[in-house]
Amino acid sequence: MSFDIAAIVLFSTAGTYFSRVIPFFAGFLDRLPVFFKRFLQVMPVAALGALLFPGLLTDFSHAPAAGMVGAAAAAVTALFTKNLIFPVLASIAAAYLML
Amino acid sequence: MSRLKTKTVSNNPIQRGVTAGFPIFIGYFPAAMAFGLIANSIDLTLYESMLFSMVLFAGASQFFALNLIASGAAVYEIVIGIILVNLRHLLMSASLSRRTTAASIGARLMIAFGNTDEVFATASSSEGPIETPYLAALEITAWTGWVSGTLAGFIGGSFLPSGLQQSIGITLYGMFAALLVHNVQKEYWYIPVAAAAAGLNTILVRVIHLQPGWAFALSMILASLLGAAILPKVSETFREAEIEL
Repeated sequence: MSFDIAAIVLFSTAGTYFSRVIPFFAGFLDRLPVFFKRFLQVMPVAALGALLFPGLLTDFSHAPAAGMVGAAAAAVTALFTKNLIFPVLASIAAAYLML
Repeated sequence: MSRLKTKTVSNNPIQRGVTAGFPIFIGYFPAAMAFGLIANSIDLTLYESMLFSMVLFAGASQFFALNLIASGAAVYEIVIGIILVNLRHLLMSASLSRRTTAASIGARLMIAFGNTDEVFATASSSEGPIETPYLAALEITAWTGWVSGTLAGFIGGSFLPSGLQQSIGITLYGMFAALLVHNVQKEYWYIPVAAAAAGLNTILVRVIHLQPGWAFALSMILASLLGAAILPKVSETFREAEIEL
């Protein structure tokens, strides 16, 4: 096990567990300002936007079309199913055909 | 994977918890397989991949970690990013803590660990107070799906033909795209938020050449502030459970 990976897992687990456990002991967290609640609420969606770009364009610089088509295939498949494995398989298949 | 209905089939809370957790198990297993597969493809060891799933137990942030590890980001950047993505659990645990019957410190420490988005959505949709044995059984069932899926995906990834292995890199982005579609299907005003984050991150990385981890954190925070500001009034009561990650 690399030291870096162990450190990432250890510290991110501590931080994540903190978010999960603190409200069980501190009641004031139900009464957060609405703006802050919305901020926390929308954060994962913002994360997804930032995770997709520019990585999707730069990670496949040798075959940018394969990356775009693979992600598009996953997005379209996701419209029809809640199960995540089908979009994932669709993206592999599409990228494989493009490469 | 959210909004799972629970049928009361038994008075035994543990049995009810396992029954309620089974749909989560079914949903988590393939998603975790994707995690194991990708972890294998970016050269994480089996132990490292399993450790992620066993102790962090936080879906999307694990995929996010793989992305940053592969891009060579610094440890502290990755850690800060993961913690930011998972801050939303504050809201879910706050909501859960109001309905739980867990009185002892030990019980609270334990049930807090497995409070993922899907566990929260399922537990919240049950009637009445949430008993600790029910919640613990629900969480353990979900956790088992996540951990066993990781193992299956990691091992399966080793047997893929090399031609297919080349295209595995896309699965991470396929996951992100699919998750985004599922979220946008629930709330259309998420579109400008995700677009703002994507645009900002692209500018920060490509034009300003910021470190990837910082660029990510900064664009996520700025786009979330925008999202909190533009959120329409009707959605002020929006349910915390409805974000899928």
